[in-house]
Amino acid sequence: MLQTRGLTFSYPGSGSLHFPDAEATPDQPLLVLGESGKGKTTLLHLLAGLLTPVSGSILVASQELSQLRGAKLDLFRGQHIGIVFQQAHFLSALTVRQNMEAASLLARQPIDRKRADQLLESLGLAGLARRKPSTLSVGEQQRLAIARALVNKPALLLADEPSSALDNRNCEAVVRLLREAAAEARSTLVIVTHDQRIRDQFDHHLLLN
Amino acid sequence: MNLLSLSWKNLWDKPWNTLISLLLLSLGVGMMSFLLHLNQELDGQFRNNIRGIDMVVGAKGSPLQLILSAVYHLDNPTGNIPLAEAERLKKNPLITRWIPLSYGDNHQGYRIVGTEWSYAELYEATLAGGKAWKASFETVVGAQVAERLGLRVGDQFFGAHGAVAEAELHEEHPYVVVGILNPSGTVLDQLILTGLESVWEIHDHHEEADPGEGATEDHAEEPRFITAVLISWRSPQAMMMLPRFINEQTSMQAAVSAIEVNRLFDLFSVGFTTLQAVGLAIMVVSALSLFLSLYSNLRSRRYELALMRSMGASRGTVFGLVLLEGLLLSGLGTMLGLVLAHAATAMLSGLASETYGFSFSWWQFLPEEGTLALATFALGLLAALLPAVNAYQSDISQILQGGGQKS
Repeated sequence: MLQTRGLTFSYPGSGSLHFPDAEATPDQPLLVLGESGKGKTTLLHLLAGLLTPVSGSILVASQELSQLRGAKLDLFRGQHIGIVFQQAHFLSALTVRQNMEAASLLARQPIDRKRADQLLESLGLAGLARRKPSTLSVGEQQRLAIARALVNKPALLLADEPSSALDNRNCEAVVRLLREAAAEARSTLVIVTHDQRIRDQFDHHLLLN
Repeated sequence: MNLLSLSWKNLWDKPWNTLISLLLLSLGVGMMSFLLHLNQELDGQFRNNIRGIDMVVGAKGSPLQLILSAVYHLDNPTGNIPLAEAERLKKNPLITRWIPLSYGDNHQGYRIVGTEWSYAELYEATLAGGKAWKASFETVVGAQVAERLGLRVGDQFFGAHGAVAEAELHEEHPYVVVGILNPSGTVLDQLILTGLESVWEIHDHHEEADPGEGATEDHAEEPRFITAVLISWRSPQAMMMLPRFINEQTSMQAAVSAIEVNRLFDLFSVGFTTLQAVGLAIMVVSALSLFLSLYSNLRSRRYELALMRSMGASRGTVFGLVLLEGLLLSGLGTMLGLVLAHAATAMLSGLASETYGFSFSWWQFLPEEGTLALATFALGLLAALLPAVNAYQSDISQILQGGGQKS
């Protein structure tokens, strides 16, 4: 569950950004739409606790993010917020499975190999567990990023431009995959994008102007 | 998986960088540790053998050579001195110990030394078997000689002329082993001891068998010669008087062992200091290489570290991870270097015990090596500190956004 109220943010030396209030639940995923430069990624980083807002509140799984600082915030993020970045990045020294385990390790969650394997399988990565992420195709890397974001069963799943680099067919497929995977993990899905093609797949939109 | 194995895997993700840092580090540590051992062993060997010998009296020549030859049996003697003249010193009230040595022959490269039993007593040597020599050609052999040559009480052997094993043999008179010494960790382990008369007689006989060298001389009237006398004095004041008296008033030379050994160590220490500086330089270069490797890794891993933060790692955790890599590498380098140094010392020990009869306790862990290990650890820590601080301070939101636009 996600709820924001009166969020504002400002980068040093530039004007402040005001964000409309947002609300989302596991059954009501949210699509945040906006053109470049409207603060999409900034909002995503605010929701993830990677940036601290100037004012306003962000409630994730009944926790007010602004009440957390430093290592506590980092840990909360690791345990309750999964992030799929626009560009998939992994720990290059580790294999696919070890990358999944690292996500649990860094969030101080017990390493659940069964859950990791199930996730990999449901995302079509079953045979790749021992490979290095750098040897995977771009599509496989994106699915691995989704699997990793969900390994700790986060309350909130954030995805940044998951479809913008894909053709129409794959664009729809990846959004469906995100929705299914998030629903399976009972995670609240928030997608941030400028991609108008996926607009119709969501009932709830938030427009950034 | 845990943080340690994560660091370990990161370290070996770029194996060449890591390997080069590791190699340099272990070379530096190895060299320093090897020098420590060498210094310690040489110092120990030289001081141990000097015991109560304050002064050596022998033929005129290099005083250092006289000491090396008479105390350590490492060099050739400077010549011979008349026994009668040497014996006059015995009556000097400043002298408490007077041990004559007469050497020149060997058996399989081990020196045969004509002397008195007091020589064995000087090193507190005890008999492992048999008895002390009494008659001519009876010998007591050092522990290592007995072991290497398989000599036992009752065995006979011929001495060879000179200090080289391959020289011609004195085949007229065999020596007989009547006693074997316990190991004393001193030069005695490599010597064959016998009475002074044996050495005199064997050379008399040798010359009789060789008519070309004036065999008609009457040996009974010929003055006896010895090679050197080891002397201890009653008080340090003797050092002011005795050497000067001997050097100026007699045909002999007196060498003060403390002075000569210190001179020798001064010579060594120039070399040691140079090598130590080289070892230190290697260590600093290796730390620099470690720093560069971690730092350049960090530039390419900035995004990875930010990613870890996004997955729940705190600033402290990524700081610790980078630091851990430096510590792992320096720990590994230290261990490898110490193994290297001990192996090299063991090899040198084998070589030295064959050539000089020195054997080093290469397995021994010196306290200085603990300091060295700590210093290396500190160096590794220092090299990893800046990259770790960098990882600690990085603005992850900015990096994660930049990483998205890049590539």
